Amino acid sequence: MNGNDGHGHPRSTAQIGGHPIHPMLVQFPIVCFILTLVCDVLYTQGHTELASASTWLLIVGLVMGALAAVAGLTDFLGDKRIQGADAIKHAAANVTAVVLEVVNLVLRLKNPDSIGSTGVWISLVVVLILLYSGWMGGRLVYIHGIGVNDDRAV
Amino acid sequence: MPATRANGRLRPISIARRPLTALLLPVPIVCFIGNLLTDLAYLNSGGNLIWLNFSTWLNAAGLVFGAIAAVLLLIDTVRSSVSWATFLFLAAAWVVEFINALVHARDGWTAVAGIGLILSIIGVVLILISGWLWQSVRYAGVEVRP
Amino acid sequence: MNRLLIAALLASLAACGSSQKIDTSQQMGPNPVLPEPSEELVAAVGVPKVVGWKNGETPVVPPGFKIEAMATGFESPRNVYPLANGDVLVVETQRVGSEPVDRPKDPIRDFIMTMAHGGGGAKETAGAGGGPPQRITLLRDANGDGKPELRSVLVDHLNSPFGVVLVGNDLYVANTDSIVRYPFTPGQTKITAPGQKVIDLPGGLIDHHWTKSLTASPDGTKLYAGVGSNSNIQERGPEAETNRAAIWEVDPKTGAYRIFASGLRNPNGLTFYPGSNTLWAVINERDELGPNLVPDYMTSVKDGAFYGWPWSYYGQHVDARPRPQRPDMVAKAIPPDYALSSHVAPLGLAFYTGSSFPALFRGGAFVGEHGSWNRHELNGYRVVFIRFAGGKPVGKPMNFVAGFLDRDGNARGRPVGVAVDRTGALLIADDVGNTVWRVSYQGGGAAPATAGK
Repeated sequence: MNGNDGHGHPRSTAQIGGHPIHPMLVQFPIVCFILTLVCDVLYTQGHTELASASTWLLIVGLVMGALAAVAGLTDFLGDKRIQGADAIKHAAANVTAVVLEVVNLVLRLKNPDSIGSTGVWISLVVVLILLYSGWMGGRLVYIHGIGVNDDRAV
Repeated sequence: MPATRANGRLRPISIARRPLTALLLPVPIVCFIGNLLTDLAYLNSGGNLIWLNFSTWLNAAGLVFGAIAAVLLLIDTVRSSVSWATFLFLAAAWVVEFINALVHARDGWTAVAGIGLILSIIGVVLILISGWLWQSVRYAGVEVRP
Repeated sequence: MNRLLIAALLASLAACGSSQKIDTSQQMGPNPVLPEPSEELVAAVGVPKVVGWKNGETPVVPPGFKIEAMATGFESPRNVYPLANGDVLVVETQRVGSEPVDRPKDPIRDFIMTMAHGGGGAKETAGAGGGPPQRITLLRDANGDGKPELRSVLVDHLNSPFGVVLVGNDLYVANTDSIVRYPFTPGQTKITAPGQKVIDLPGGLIDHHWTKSLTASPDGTKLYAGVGSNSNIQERGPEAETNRAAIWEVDPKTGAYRIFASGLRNPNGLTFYPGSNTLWAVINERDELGPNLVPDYMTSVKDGAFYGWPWSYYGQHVDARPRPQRPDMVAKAIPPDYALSSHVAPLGLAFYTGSSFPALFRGGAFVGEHGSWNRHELNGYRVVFIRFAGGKPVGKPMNFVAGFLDRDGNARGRPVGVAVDRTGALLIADDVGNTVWRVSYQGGGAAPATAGK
């Protein structure tokens, strides 16, 4: 068996100290984009001061999302066993989400009032996509065992 | 799906094999890191209150979801008799961030400058350690089905 | 292990920071002791439960004086205004709606405040068609025996009114967001004519300190309105404080105004010293610097003066919390005349202009102290008297009306506005006791004791 992949699980190339990096980073865009939706919904309920909050959350989410994508792509290219349908679906969904959030950010930078009319809907669609891509990510870890090391003592 | 793993320990509380703590723990991690960033932005801006308000909300969100995650993690730890370290660091982070919430409730500069920033830093360090340890448990202890 | 840690931390929260061990009497007078700020982890909160007055219960007054309920059955009466013909106006008023939420602390703080006023949550609608009364009631006590023969609603559907003053045949009412003039001839029991707005006052959604005290210059040509701040120490941002924390001088004919004095966090009880052109007020100073900071005060108000809020208190004592700091403003700040001790919440001020009380009371000041929330040990919840000589306060305050708290520290009532009626009796508006009290002198008895513990 190669390296520390324990029992033949696909190995995560982008890892540090045995810990895959992609799941560490991906928390940020997930939570940030969910919080963006929360802020947008509150915005439509009259809390217009949250416009700047959601803008910052989008920026942080996109920056960390880009880093997470790099880590994920590294993993994808680093082990052929990862390059299956589930990983591709997961990646495609995430790329879609990121593109939508870039559009979301641009629209509200140009016109903050658009949050109520378009922004909140984009945020909602993205969160729904993340539910799907997060579910697929769960498959990658808990079904395919990417990066899992059973040899290590718990 | 047997509730017991091959090594005789109980599985973590899960939804369709995905542990609930996996879904919840990112929230306090991201929120407390966010709290630290907005604290730094507040100090850097010379006291623009919008950053302080963001800090208090991120802290509050982290505390709420962190509490839920901590309870679930406590149950998982007891049931599966894995090392207590992950839970203890999470609990310590929560306590620190709770005190941080009280400090951040002050009306202005003293909410962050001094003890507020220090607590934000300590809280982030503690929860990152907890996250690291949690990942060890997860990635070492997960039984997968190809 | 963690349970011990949590228990130890909670115990230390309570102990944290209460190092301001001084007696409240050290903060009464022109030179109060000002300890170092102590920002506790959990701000000391002492809010007495409101229990109201049972049948026959009254507050306590010194020997020789008598106190009776002049009228009961009000809902949050906060101000009294006696007229020369013996009629008394009573202002029932409350805050409408809750403050917008900027941070998690806001709804928690607001909840504690409404509990202190005996209610369950802020009321949502103003007087018209549901919600608490926002009106002025007229009591007619023609024979001056303290028992009104007639009670009539003078004017209703106001907007959180507080200050009221009669100038000639014009009755001016200070709502939270405007000064309105009504035509009124003493003798009337009802005003049917619509009010005419004289000027808008800062109100808005936050309206943190919403009571607008009102008085008129002795010659009747100018009105003076107290406009409290929109926050404790500018934590809602400087924009929310535009023209607030100040006393406005208004021309009632033209509606023009200027800022008469500023840096006064929440000025109330605006009153001119009898026979002078000197305006006096009582001011509620800031919170969350400890149980013994910052003392509330009574002061003469100098034209054009700046009294420190938010950047400093008592002259050049800097508050570290508001940013950006303004050393230029701190340098200009002047200290007030007379401290009343911390967190007593003075809301009423009246100078004794009658002759039925003993001589030592002539020209002295009665202050209605609504009572503290930012201390474990309650302070205030009484009416104090401060003797004046040569137009200036002398000595320490004397507890004049006490017993608003019962033996268990619950609130039967809380004094707000005070005034002296035609017979020389002292009237007190008691907002959680829902009563207007009347204190008269019966003769005999020693002078009242001094204040302090």
